[in-house]
Amino acid sequence: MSIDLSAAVSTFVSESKELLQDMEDGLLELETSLIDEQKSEVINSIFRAIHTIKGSAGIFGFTRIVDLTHLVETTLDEIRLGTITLDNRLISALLSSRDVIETLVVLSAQESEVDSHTKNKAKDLAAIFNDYLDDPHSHAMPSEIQPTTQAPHNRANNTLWHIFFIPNENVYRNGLDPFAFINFLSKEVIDLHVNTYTKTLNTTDMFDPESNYLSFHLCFASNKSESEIADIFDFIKTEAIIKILAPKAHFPDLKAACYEFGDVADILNMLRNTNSIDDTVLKAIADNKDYIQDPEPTQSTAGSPSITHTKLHQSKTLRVEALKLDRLIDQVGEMVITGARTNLLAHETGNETLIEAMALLERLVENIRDSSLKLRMVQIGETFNKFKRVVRDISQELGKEVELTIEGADTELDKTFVEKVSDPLMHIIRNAIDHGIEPPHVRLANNKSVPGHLKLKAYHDSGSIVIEISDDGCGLDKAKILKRATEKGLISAEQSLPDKEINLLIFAPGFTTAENITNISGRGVGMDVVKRNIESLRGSVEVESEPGVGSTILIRLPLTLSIIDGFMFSVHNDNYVIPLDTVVECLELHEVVAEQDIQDKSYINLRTEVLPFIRLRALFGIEERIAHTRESLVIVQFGTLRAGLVVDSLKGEFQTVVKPLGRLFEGLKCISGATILGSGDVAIILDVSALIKSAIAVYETLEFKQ
Amino acid sequence: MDMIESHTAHANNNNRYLFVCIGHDNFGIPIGSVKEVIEYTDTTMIPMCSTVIKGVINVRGSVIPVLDIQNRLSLKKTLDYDRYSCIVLYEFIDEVIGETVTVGMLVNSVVSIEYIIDDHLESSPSFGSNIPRQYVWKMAKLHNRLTTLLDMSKVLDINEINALLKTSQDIFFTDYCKL
Repeated sequence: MSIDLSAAVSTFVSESKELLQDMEDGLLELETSLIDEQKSEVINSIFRAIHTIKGSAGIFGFTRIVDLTHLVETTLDEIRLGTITLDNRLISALLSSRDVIETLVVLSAQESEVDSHTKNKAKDLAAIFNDYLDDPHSHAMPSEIQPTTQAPHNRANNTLWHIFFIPNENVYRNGLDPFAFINFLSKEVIDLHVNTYTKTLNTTDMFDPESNYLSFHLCFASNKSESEIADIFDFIKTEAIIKILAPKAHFPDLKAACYEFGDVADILNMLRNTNSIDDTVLKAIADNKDYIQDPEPTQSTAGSPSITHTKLHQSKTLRVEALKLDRLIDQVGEMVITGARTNLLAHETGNETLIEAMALLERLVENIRDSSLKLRMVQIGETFNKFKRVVRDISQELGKEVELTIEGADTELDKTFVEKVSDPLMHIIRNAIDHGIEPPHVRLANNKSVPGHLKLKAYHDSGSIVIEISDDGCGLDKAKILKRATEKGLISAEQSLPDKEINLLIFAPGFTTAENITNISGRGVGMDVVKRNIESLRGSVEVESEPGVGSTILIRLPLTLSIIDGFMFSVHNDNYVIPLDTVVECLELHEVVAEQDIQDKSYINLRTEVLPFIRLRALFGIEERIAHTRESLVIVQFGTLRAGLVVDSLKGEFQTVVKPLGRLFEGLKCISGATILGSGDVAIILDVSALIKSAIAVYETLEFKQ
Repeated sequence: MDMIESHTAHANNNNRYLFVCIGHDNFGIPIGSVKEVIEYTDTTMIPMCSTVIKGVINVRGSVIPVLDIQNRLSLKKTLDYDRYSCIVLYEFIDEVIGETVTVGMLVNSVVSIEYIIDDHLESSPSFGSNIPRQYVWKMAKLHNRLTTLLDMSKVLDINEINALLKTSQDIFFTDYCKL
């Protein structure tokens, strides 16, 4: 009997990774100043994460993971109960245990042997946790972290569990035997004391032999959680009042229970006999005779706060395989193309009802396209959060203080981008901390706050997504960059460059100003990777920097890769598409400029603004000319660049499914893909920014030669 | 024994070749990688591209590049394409990305499919061929005539063509800006 577990194991791995990420986020959050209530909420969520991993690992029999997670879980539980104070050392230990668990999860899933390094790490961590768990005086004073807002002195100090178990009169008639539950409990816990008393039987003449009149007070020691204890009584909870008081229960709870479930004096006697509650506490209960009871059976079962929290936090997401999603997007793309074709045919027939129905269908298709594209959109917050840890680790390693702020974490972008943008961000952040942010003493000397600030910000801006990484460090040293660039032969010594281009030199391969290579940066590889990765996504990188104030790196990415809103025009019988959001306006060329004015130059005066343009016919090497009056001008903008494209005719808006052209055309600057039109013809998608930039670059080199 | 071997080879398309007419000559292409042959349709021009690329076509929803094989083989005497011209869709694995790539080759006409045993293969001439030597894999003796079998990995070398396209794109820009 062999079951193929591979699918389940891979789910386990991805799920565990997500949970571990949650755990990391939570731990980092704990390092910041939170109010106690939030802290206990965060600790609970970490506990849940690790508990889930432990459970799943147990199913697959990954004992190493179970061992470590169990220890982490116990530690967290103690933190939750307040017996261990959560300090920085413990957070660091928990963070590294997160890493070790991740390694173990991956290794176990591959069924490969755990290397000695990881084993040692796990051992060290176990030692640290045990150290905390064994700490004798931590029991004496509860820490500030409490699962509830109750002040510590309100604790009843009972060392044992107490349960008031009051089955109702009909419990036997309903086929339940309270004794069976107590019997089961006795097997699960240590030192069970049972006190039996009656509360409801007042006179013997009312006695009904089939009714139950007995109530129980149970007292025992156990290391189980409250929910586990509650589970034991799960079956009978509709037929009985059950009040579970965990060790160190709240004083008011205990007091209420004493008054609620019978004669106070009797109960106090029973409690005294268990030797688990201080006399002072019992006296306090006895003195509170005016306490008004309110026996509500529903209250009694709601004993465990952790259970209710779990229910609140179950997220409403659905896990879908990425491949299935990609296939869906492909199919939607095909549908868009076919829809356009059908629309074209409908128009040819001239049948009004058909055209109307088609228009409706077209709109639906458009909606489906939009919502299926949204499926692939993910919030960038997850990626950003990963860097909290990176920032923490690097800044600690370098002895710097860095505060990371995140803005626009809910900005959505294509899944493919998220994966590819993470690497470049890592390099930029490393560089910002290593080179940008100064050590604390330098910052103090420069009248800056001691902790450096690093900001990750994402937002939408005219059809693209901008990711901004800014620091308040020392800024780029232009003189040093120029010196290095000249040494490396990237520029000639006499060349004078505008500031923007000097800044861009840091992206040149092998470029570094670091004197020493550290394990964080200095090899001159990172920034090169940044530029290449971003450009492969049809994005661009800009650098702004002010000496002594800080630097900002702007990454601009298109919204999506697969389907775009395009604008179509034609040049010499062929159709071309450009992204619609790059188009500013369209004009008849002869209306803005006379033919003789642009005989030998390529710019026009548009509403007193100079606008250079590119004549696509000439650029594409088509010798045949068309009449000036038939030419149109499309004005496009990319970032701050604005230019005109002279085309033959305008075709208008067009939903464009981007089809890759393959590696044969890879690296061709101005062509970003192709699309299939309704007629089945192919149209080329032009990369407007590259087109203009290339033209500028060529003009510049030509000028340079002259 | 020989019989059996040749039979399996036959079944595997190992020694079968598609003969096509490119310019004024016939050339052989290993048939195993030929996905299909479709009629010559209008192609969409890729702007600022070398003449080696005829354009792109739509084959059931995929955009396939079409090579002008006469230009690719740098034939001096070329023939115009007519209604007998065909596009041969050739499929191969791109080692760099590990994915299957389909490229169309525009040929003047398709001639025949022939089975050639190894004994009938000759090495290529050291000089004197009308196409660059690296594109010639072997010469095949067929009906007492020598026909060139193309080395498709060289003819459809993606990296080489890609580099070629990049240089020609730069030339287009320079030409335009010089105007």
